[in-house]
Amino acid sequence: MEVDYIGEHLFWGQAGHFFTALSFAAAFLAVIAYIQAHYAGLAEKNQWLKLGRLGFRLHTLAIFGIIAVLFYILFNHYFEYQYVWQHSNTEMPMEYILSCFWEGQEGSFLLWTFWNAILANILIRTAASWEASVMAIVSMVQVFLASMLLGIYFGGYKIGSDPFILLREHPDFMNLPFVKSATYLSNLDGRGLNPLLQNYWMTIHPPTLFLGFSATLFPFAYALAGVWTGKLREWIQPALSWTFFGISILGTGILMGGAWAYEALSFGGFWAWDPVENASLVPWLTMVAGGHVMLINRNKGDSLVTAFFLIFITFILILYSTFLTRSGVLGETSVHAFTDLGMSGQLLLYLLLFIWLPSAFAIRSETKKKIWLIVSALFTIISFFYFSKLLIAAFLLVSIIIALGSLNKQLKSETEEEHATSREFWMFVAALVLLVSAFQITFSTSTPVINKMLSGGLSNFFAWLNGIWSTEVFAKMAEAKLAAPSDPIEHYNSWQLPFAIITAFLIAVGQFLSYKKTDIPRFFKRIWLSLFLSALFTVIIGVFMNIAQPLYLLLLFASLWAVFANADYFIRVLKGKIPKAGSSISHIGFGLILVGSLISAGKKEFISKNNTAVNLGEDFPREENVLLALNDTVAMGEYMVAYRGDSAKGIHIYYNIDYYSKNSDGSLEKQFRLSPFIQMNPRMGNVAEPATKHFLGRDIFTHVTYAPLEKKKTKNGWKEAKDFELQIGDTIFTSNSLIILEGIKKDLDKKAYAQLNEDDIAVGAVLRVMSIDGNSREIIPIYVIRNSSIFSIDASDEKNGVQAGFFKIDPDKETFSLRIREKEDPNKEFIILKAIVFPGINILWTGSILMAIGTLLAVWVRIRRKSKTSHAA
Amino acid sequence: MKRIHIIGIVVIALAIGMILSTFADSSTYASFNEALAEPQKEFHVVGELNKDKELEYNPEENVNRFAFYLVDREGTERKVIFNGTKPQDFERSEQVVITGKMNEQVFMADKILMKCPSKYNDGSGEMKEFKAEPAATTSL
Repeated sequence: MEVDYIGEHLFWGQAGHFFTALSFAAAFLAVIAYIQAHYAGLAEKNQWLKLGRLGFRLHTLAIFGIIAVLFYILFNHYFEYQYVWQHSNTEMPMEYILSCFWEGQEGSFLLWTFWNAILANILIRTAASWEASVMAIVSMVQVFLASMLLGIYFGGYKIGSDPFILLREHPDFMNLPFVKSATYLSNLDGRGLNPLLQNYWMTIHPPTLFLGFSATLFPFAYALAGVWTGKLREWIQPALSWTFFGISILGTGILMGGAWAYEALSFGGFWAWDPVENASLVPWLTMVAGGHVMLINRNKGDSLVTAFFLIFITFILILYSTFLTRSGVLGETSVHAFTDLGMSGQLLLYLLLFIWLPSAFAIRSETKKKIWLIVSALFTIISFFYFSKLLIAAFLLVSIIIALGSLNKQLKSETEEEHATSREFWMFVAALVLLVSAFQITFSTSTPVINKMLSGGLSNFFAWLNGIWSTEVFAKMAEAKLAAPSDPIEHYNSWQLPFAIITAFLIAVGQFLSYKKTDIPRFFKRIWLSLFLSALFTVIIGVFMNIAQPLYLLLLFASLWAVFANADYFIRVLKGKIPKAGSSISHIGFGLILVGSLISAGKKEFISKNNTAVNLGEDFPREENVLLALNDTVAMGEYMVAYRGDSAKGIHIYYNIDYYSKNSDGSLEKQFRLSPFIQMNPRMGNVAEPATKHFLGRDIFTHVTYAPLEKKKTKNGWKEAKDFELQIGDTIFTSNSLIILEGIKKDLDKKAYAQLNEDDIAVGAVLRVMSIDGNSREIIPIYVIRNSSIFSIDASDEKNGVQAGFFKIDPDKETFSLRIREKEDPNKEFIILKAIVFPGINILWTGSILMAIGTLLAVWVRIRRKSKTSHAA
Repeated sequence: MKRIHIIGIVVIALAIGMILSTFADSSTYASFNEALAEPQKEFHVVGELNKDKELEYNPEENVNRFAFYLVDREGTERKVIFNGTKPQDFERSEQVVITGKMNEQVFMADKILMKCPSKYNDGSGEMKEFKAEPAATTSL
């Protein structure tokens, strides 16, 4: 049955589909044309290049088109589109429309494609002789990314997920009754944006991070093009700027994510080793390592295979992290992974292809290349019929070995071994430390993937191994039911702390070492000042902040040295010349990040200690939450803190918490108010967000861990009634008040009571309710005789949570029977609060900014120098 | 032997150490019965909240004690005590992952990961994590 739906805007969906198809087709055209241009002779080359550029520009325009349409339908709340319905609603403030855009996977892929296209257009202008080969690879990546938005079915497989699908055509909803109604749109509101993403960091963190992701593609494309064209050494020069641009942007993006977690999440810190955070940190580490090895090569001409490896692995790790966070594999281990849209197979395929590709290009000998291509094709065919994870893993391993092996063979040179005091040797060591650190994080983050691999056949092997040599490790591997480390922070810190220490030491001495060989006496002459200063400050900070753990002290020393040594180098050696200072500034920044995270995370203090609560025993030695009753004042650290009630504003409930300082005479002086809030979101669940007071030296972070929201809704939570027989002047005690029967009122003004008729007989009992804190109120329940029936008109005192009924008069004994109920919850509001002091967090943010500025400065100087030399030539 | 070979050996040794430490530190998914068999070991238990039984939470007495009944995937029900505040909306949870140890018949949880249903879309619920009071992990 065809239904004429009312109020739909189908044109925009069609426009969106048109642009999606165009972006895919145009990117495809660009790939073909650029490959042709690469192989074509001089005469035809330009024609193909022109076609390639045309294709890519068309592709870029199509992406702008998709983005414009998606924004248009989001802005206008066209809830007939599933993406709009899923990620926005009418209540939401407009400034978060950007967050809606990239909340979904489709939007985030779009963002990624967008940055790739922008950067690629810059590359077209700058790449010169590299254009054909590099752009062929970039365009191929764009074909894959564009396919993620297609949403078509191909032989039973779903390719991509369409952001312009109609709600009533989406598989999850098409059979629901409400979409069968022609007017279903008339009062449809969207599901809304995840409350956690309604934060200003979420409008800038994803675009920055994805720009960083995009930036990893270009060094990769240059390196791969270098292998393809046989220009094994020449790619380093043009790729260097891209690499350091990527380091700067990706690093900034990661730290912005940390800032968001710190501001909006209740992690109680800026880094929690969450799998999603790790997934973006790991490629950054390998890219930093790769960038430095490229620098070694530029200055010394060796370590090329390592540079290839690191640059390849960076891009592959970006793809891998996309796979991890979007395939649903992390579902049970991470808080903010995307849910699966059925694209994991597709993502995996692209990942495998890009791991394999370098091997196909790297083999020089034509016959060997043919053999390898045939083997690969056979393997692909076999995999269609017999899918084995183990076989795929083995195949990939062989690919990597072939790629690196043949590169190594072609680059074999008789270079001398680096001197043990040379800068390149220690830079290389630092790069390896970063690589090893990245490996550790990847491996620990990948437990769900390892489980899948193990259950694909390896577990039997480990069961057998465990039979021979029984250890806990083998037993666990045989079970293939590994979960994340039960204490992830401890697990990661115990490995990463030593790496951070070594890295910081190498950053400190690195600039003072010379290429080839260092003059040792001169080295010590230049380094002693910073060495002395950092030792001095380590002692001062260590004593002042009471840091006793040796490894923490060592990290403090090493990172302070990194800061001082680079500052010293900038002032004394570079004489404060800014254009040369890129590396000094970024290394100072990195050192400050380490110092800041050590102090803020290592010395964070929970001031909300609960002194009254019962201790649960040895397993649970510390209490970090405190119960704050309304208007009670509680000591927290150096402050006195009072909860002043809540106030609702839209869908937020703010809990107002006043912080007081104690004067010497004991009086309290209000310092500031913090209002952490809970966002009431019936669709997504209620979310508590912290409030933080920023000082120069420290932050005070306040977070509501529990507020009795549920009890507020139920107004009729009364305890069981109790009956009392009283004479005038008698007193009843309830749990938080006393009730005195002061007298009997017979001359009631019946007109004042809606429930009373003129000819009823009505007698009131005058009750005085006095609360413990002294306020008193009068309530009058009424005993009524109407015709032959008797009933009570109850009276209540809401404030003290008392309700009274008057149901019997005994004239002989002169007693009056009252029925008293008390509120279930004596109407005392409370919240449970966690308050943490983070010292020195501003050191961390300062370091982040310096690192970003320093790396960008280096890139800018490099580009300027290049354009100068090209102008001169 | 070249220096680079020594470095290579160190790197490989480190990598093996990391792999082993990951396996040693990693906890295991298990049922209550398996957890009961090894009471000294940490486990992840996946299950559903028994919504018919009362959730015990009396913040006036102790803000950091929350107890509930969980049915694991084998159908075994156990009382779970969590040393922390009751997660907001816990009643609405669809699936719960708890981390901790069995103590006699009670599971002492120090982490709760819960999945709330979203009203319209099955299978895409939001995951939320709640940690207990850490056992002095950051003291210097």
